[in-house]
Amino acid sequence: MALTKEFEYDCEVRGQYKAVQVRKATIVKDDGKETSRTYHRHVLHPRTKTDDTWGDTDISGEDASIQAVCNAVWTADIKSAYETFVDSQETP
Amino acid sequence: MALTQITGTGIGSVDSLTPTTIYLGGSGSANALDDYEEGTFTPTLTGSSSDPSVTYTTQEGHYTKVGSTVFFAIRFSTSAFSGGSGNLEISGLPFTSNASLDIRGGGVGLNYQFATNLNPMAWRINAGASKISLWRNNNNADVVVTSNGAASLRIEFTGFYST
Repeated sequence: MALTKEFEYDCEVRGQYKAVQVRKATIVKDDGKETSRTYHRHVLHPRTKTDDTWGDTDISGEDASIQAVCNAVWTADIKSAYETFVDSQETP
Repeated sequence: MALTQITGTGIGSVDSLTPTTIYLGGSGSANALDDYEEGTFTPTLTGSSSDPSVTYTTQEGHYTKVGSTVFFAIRFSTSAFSGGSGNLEISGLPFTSNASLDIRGGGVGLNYQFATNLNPMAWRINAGASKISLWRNNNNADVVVTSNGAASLRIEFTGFYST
């Protein structure tokens, strides 16, 4: 019996502001046959606000496949529209 | 409840994760159950302007997604909290909220050891967002800010939102 653990990444691109919903699957196999699969998720948005200043979201820690999706869908227009959308929402 | 119809457009399996839609009680899009998933996420205390430095003793997030609705449970306890600025937020939700449906919020089930008494506390998710803001339900629309934080925070609540 040989137990192994593998990780798989996939994502969905959601909405007009191209939120990238990342899903990391942890797959345990016994002699090559999958015995369990669990999911862990997070969401990436095209821009991030720090100290009241917008900047590109840091995706350097993401899997290369996820980085490729982000770089493909996060155009300058999308980034600008996302900033406007977030800034327009209610904040006290 | 009478179950009048169950049909499937494909059967998923471990070896072949075929997208599956099941229709319950009718054949229209309103009867389609096209997604179900359980998993975890990592909720993180952040600031709307700058993030506090936080040491967690417990940091858990669990979700169940049924169709377009995400049910979640969050639990924090901390042993250190310092710095940060702006509104205190919880980042790291597993799905972005529906950008065209700006109605999502609820009560925070348990919270204590903030710098001041902030009860009753409520949570809210903005449209198209993956983070939660915390509010005081005091008829003044006050938000919880990072300076309300303290070393030994405890926050636990459940809720749901549309994605």
